[in-house]
Parts: sequence; structure tokens; C-alpha cells
Amino acid sequence: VEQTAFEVRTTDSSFLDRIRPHLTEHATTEEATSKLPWYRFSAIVGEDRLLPGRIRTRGLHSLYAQAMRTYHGPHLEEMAGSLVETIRWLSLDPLDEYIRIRGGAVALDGSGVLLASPESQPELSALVATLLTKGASYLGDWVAPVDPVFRRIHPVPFPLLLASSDASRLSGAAPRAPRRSGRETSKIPVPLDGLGSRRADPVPVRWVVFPSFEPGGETRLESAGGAEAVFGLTQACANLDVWEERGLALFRELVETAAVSRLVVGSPEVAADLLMEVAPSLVET
Amino acid sequence: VVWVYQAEEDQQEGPDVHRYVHNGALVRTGLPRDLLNFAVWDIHTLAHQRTRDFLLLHAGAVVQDGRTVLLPASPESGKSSLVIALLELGFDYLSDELGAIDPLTARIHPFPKRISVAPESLGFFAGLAERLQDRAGLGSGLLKRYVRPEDLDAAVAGPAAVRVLVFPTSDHEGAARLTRLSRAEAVHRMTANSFNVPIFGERALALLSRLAREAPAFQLDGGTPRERAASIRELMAELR
Repeated sequence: VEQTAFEVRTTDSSFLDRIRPHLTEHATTEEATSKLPWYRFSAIVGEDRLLPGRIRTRGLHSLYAQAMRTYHGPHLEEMAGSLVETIRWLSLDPLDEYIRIRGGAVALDGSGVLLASPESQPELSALVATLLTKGASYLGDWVAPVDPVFRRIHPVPFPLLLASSDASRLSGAAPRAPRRSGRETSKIPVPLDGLGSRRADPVPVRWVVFPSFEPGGETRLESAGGAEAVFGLTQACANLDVWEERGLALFRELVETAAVSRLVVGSPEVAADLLMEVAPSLVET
Repeated sequence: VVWVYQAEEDQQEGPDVHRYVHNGALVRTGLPRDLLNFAVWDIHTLAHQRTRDFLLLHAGAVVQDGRTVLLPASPESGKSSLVIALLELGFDYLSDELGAIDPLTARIHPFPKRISVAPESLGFFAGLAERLQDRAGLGSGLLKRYVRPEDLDAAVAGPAAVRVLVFPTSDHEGAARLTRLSRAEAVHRMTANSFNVPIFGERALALLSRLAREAPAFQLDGGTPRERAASIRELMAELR
């Protein structure tokens, strides 16, 4: 992927079956990757054990990226999520031919809705996934690459990553995973067709939305000023160190040509409905 | 990326053999003079390998009155000598090797480095060799000569839009002559001289097509570097 080769080895081939649906499109030959820098992932699949006294312990799985452990826990789906998350980060981080905006993005009827998020917000993926279940097409749930030639958002070639509880909540369309207490940080990969959606073609940016999350609060759209939006995009830009003032010029242009809003999300469901309802009128104007 | 020039004495190969280490990996051993020349080449190569926010052409580029003359050409076409001759005529410097096209604006950005030419090429420019300051210290071992824009009373220009595309060839027979090229031929030749078209894909073609649409294209044959530069100056005057 993007001039880096990834190799996965495992103690249990069933783990490969689990990740294949998410990464098959990137599969290649050893020959094609022989001159590329490569990363090796090692997935150690633990086994359940029966201890004296009929005490059963769940097997713990570990994933290593090169020599660094990136996952240790009892859920294979979460280990697959950790693998996909590391690969997509390693693949997308060098893509400086794009201006990369942290956040998510979806396409609605050929128009791009950029959900810019200067700070990392775990709830953003759930909002993107909910939009997909309502008819939007997928562009990204972590970073949105904007092409500087045509000013279009390009789709990222990886599955959506959702917190386990969100994946379960989304009407069973996504793979179910065990519920866990406390704040979840691990994510599981969710195929787009499981959400009734697909990857979008590159689309122009028509609406820039800055979401923030207040679970349980009122969901509302607010207007945002141009200067505030340019500043927000500056904060959300993952490679402004590369694009510098050229990035600022693009953000000014985007803000002049696209609608700009703040979105306070009390409920992803309500927020997705609101975006779907308002988008057609905003995109037209 | 870290380059380490290790000058410690090599236990097996003696005191005159040095090591060139790139990112912790031994790349080459040899005499300091050879390693220095290799390092200069290696560092410049790395610059275009690592750059992804510009579409890069193998090209010289100079500026007059805020308008860029872009000179895409294959190696050994005399780009660097032509750039020197153009700087002598009052043009400002962007590059003698890399035409860095900003994908947002299609303007050419400077890739400021010293202009490197073979020592014999300085024969075209009487008195220039004596003005150069590239032979101090380790520089005495460099195979090429290195010309700074200020050696020619020129400056490094800021980003500028392309006014004309000139494709110098390695044919130096006869007088300098410019031949008009079609837009399609210009795009084809720029693509052939690009370092990173695959990264940009169809967007590269759109960008190069925009350049060819906005700037007329010419092939430049014949002539010495100074004669070629004079023909470009005349062309720029006609295009005003």
C-alpha cells in the first residue's frame, strides 16, 4: 500500500480469514514488493484454558507491529481493528500529495461533506457509520485527503473502524463484538456493505462541518464564520507543515465555495438525520 | 534521514578509506573525495524521491518580471549551462534541475541549490570559473563546479506562473532556433521528464495540460548556451 509492503503472520490461520475481507484489495505478490520497505505484523492467537477447579480462562491475543505490541486482549475482531488501524496510519501518513484533514467525510449525491475535527473524537466514526446506514457513501472516518488539483475529497481505501459497542448498535449490520465496560478505545473493522453503503468516488467539498459531541444533549446545527472555519481547518490539517501557506490558500477557497457549519451531536442518529435533511439545500446554494 | 560521514581510521582498509552511512546503513566506502561527490548526488536524489507535495519535472526554471521560463529536458541537454547563461542576461533563478509545480496554483516554486556543471562547461563563460567559491575545504575534491546565483549577480525568485515552456535538446549544431510545439507534444514531453507523475496520476495530466494551455511551448535546438539564452530573451520580449 502506497509503496510500503505489509506482511502478516499468525499462529492461527483463522485470524487471516478474519482480516482478508478488509485488506484483500491490497493483496499483491512477493515479487512486486521485493524492493519496498516492509512492515511485519505478528499475530499471536491465544487459546482458552481450563485450569484446575474447572476454572476457564479466556485466551489473550497479541499483535506486534515489527517489535512493538499494538494489541493485547481477548477479542480477535479488536486485534483485526488494531491491525487495520496501524496499516491505514502507515499508508496514509506519507500521502503529502493530498492536504489531509483530520476527521471524517461522506458523499451525498456526488457532493462531499467534510466532517473536520481538529481534535481526535472517537464518536466521529459512529456518526460517519450512521450516515452510511442512511444512504451516504464512504470517504473516510479518520482522515479526509483533499486533492489540491481538483479540490476533491478522495476515499480512503480501508474499512471503517468502529468502537465495539457502536458496531453492535448499528442494527446488527456490523459484526457483533462483546460489550465492555468503561470507555472503549479499541475498534473493530466494519465492511461498508455491512452498513448498506459503498466507497464513494472522489467528490468536491460542498459542506464543511465541525462536529463536537455532547452525548445526551441537544443535537443542533449552528452557523460558523469564515475566519473560524479557516482556523478550524488549519487546526485539523494533518500536514500543514508540508503545505504551509498553500494550505491556508486552499482553506480560504474551500470556505468561500462551500457551506460551513458547526454541529453539536447529542445523538449520532439525530445528527445524521439532520445532516441528511439539510444537506440538499445547503449543497445547492 | 541522517547522513554520517565517518572519518575514523578503518582497521582493515587503512587510514584513507572512509565510510558513507545513510540512516545507519553503510552505503559506500572509499576516499573522502569520492564519498563527498556521492553524498552530493545522493542528497539531491533523496530530495525528489521524498517530495510529494509538488509535481516535479526534470527541468531548469528562471524568472523574468514575475514570469517563469520552464525548461524541461532530459539529462545532458545543457539545462544547467542554459540557466547560467539566462542568469547572466538578468533572469532570476528557480532551479537548474527540478521544476517544482505547485498542484494548487500551477506556479513554479524555487528549488534553490547551487547550479552544478561539468568543469569543461565553464569554458562557455569566460571569467566565471575565477569568480566561483566552490573550492574551499572539502570542496576542492568535488568533481563538478558549483555556481551560486549571486556569482552571476542573480537572485533566487519566489513562486511564479509559467509564461513559456522551452524544451532544450542535446542537438547543438547550427544556430539557436526555436520551433513551436503543440500542446499535446508539450504535455507528452513534460510527462516524459517527470519524476513523480505516478503519484499524481490523472491529476498530473490535468496539471500539465493546464500549463500547456496557459503557456506556449517551443523546442530549442542548436547554439551555445549564450546563443540559446539570447533566443529565449527575444522570445520573452515577443510574448510581452
